Amino acid sequence: MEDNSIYRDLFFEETDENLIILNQEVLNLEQQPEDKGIIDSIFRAAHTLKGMAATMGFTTMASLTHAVENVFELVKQEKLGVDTHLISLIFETLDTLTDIVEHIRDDSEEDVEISSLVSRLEAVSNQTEGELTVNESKAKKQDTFTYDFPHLEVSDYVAIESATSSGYTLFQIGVKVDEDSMMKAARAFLVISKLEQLGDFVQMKPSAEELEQGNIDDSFALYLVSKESKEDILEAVDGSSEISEVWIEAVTDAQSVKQSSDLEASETIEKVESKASATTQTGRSASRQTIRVDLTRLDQFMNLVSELVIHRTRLEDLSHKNNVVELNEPLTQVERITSELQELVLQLRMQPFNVVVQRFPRMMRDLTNELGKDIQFLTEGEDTELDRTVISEIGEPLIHLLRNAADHGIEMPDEREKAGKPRTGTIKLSAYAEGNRVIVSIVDDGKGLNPRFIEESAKRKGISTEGMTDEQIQQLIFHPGFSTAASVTGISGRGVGMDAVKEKIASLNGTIETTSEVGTGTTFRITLPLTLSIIQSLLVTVGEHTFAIPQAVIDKVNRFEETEAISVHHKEVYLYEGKTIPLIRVADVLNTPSSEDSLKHIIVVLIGDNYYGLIVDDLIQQKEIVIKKLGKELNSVPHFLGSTILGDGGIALILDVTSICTRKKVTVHE
Amino acid sequence: MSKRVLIVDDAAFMRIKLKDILEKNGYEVVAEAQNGNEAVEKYKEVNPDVVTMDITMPEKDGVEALKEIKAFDKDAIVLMCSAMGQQTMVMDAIRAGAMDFIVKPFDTERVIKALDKAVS
Repeated sequence: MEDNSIYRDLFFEETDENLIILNQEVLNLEQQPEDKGIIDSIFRAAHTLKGMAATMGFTTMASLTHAVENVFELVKQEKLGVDTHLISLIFETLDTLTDIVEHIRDDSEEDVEISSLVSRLEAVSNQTEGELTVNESKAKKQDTFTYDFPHLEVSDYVAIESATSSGYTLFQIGVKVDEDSMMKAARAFLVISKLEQLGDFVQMKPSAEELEQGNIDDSFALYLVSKESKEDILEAVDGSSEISEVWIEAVTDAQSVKQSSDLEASETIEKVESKASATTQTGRSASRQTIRVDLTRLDQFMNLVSELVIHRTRLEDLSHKNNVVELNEPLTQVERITSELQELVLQLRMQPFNVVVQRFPRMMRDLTNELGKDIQFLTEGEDTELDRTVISEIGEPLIHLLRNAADHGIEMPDEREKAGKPRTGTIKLSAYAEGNRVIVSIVDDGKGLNPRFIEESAKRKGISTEGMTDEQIQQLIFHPGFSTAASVTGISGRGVGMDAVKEKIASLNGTIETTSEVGTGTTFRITLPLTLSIIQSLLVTVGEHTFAIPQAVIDKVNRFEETEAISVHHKEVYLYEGKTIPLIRVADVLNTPSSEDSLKHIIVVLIGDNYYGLIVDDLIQQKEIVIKKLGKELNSVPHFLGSTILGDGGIALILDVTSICTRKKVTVHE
Repeated sequence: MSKRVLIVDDAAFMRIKLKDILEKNGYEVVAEAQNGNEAVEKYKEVNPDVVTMDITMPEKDGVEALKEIKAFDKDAIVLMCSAMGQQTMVMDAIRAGAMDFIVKPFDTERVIKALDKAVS
């Protein structure tokens, strides 16, 4: 095993990838049990896994994948039908495989018990094998007919006759390429180029042109006139690998061929159809081609670009101050290139939401079965891209929310029917971008969060609900150590509460809120930052300090006169486009004196669906800034996203506008 | 006597992997080359029983090298090593007289089968 250690990383990467494919495709197969493309893809993935495991010397894994492969071999040959029982067995196998892989990853022995699973898989294979022996003779006969021989034209018969009369023999040759062979067309081409040296082709199917374009199923068929014997032809072709069968027969009566080729016309149509689906399959996998990059290198790249941006800014500043005109042109170039670099590195860090989502359908399926409920799980916006840090961290809270929705949200089918709802409940997970944030929502049409239950439970736990509205009571589910489940089931309520979910999301600079209506359903709305590193910002001053405001939230910037502040219910508001919006004096919030004499500006920001007006002193400029996180020591200081280094080497704090604008709500809650 | 193999591949990793597979299965790797030019030189020098030839290589690609080797020795047994998606190149190689081809990533069983067949 030691010699293989250098391939370990690659092995794990590819194994993980293939396991994901398997889980996904088996799930698809349950929906479309007849789909050849899906079956092929499952077979391929299982085969790849087996090959890799065997190469690495992981025998347990190899024998288990081998058993799965056998089962799918039968499915592929349509000797075994796909039913829920089979799907569940396969899923169980996949889980065991995942366990084995984890064991290997941890360098522990491959001590997962698989014998019962293997024997169950073998039972499935053998069961059909039994039937097979009965029909064997019939099946064999059918084999010969799977070759799709080309049609012979009248001119062909003329040529055949003249050839046979001068000592040539007409051969009907069918060749099957290994089903899992890659580049089947090239395999076929190899055999054909060998045959070509032995005689002349009369007709070939698929045609030479089709072959060159790569259009071929697992087999091809042709007519060859040759002076060689059947054995010599067989031997010539036998030297090629990955050919599973060569069927060859000398034809004595050319006319008999004519009839049989007519008979096969109906089969041809089917073949064409399956070929079409196979082509789309390859098209799909080709578009997925990517290069793997070590994540730490990507982070390093990101950091270097950030540094570069800082120094570019400093250079610009110096050139400006010293009025070095010659520097302007190269600086513009540097600016353009660094901007492109920045954009690129940001894109590199982005991953589609799908990376997280892809494992959920399987989980929801299992949950549905386990709970005995009818649940339809929908996803939307899988293409939405998020920073990879967010992607890698968001899975856990989402799983928790989804489990909760399935377990506590959706009612039992009978209960739903009584309530006048469809028996099948729906849980929808969607993601979409909104400004520089991404919104992830989980919506279920279950029984909703009943404020009375929550209230009662809160009282039992000694949490006061005095003077709270129903909405506020519903938010209590995020309170530390709160669980609404009457009984702790195996699915949710394992002690990790919603407060953990909230905390996790907060650590990603995100927020979570819930709206729920009793009897109708519950919505969780998670707001996440799109990226965590470089942003466009507006630099402003308040008193003697410089602050940066993320551009993405800014709707409008205006001059501000004190007379424009209107006082309503002891609160200051501002008239913006015919609506009154809350006025927030940044100097007051941050407890820093504002300069008395300078002109004031109002920055109108949009947070969620609400506008707020922020009052600052002066505007400096628009600038791209690199967010440097504040150290852990400053974690408890609110209202700042981080800091950034300015061109002159000074430091500006970046305002967390969301926190500043919603700060009052927070104080009411706590 | 074990068959003598010349491995041609520009990636050291692939050469090591292939060498490992071959030597474990009773083949003797007599030379390695990392581009087409080297391949032709080494072929003339060591006269191997069989050559495994990568297709995409710097300086001179595998198909060109195959043609030159075939011109030098028309009975040369050359197996092409191709990555997925190089079908056209593989077909060119077959036209130029390649005996067989193996597709990367290498599957031990397939590699050995192809070689066994090629040298038999």
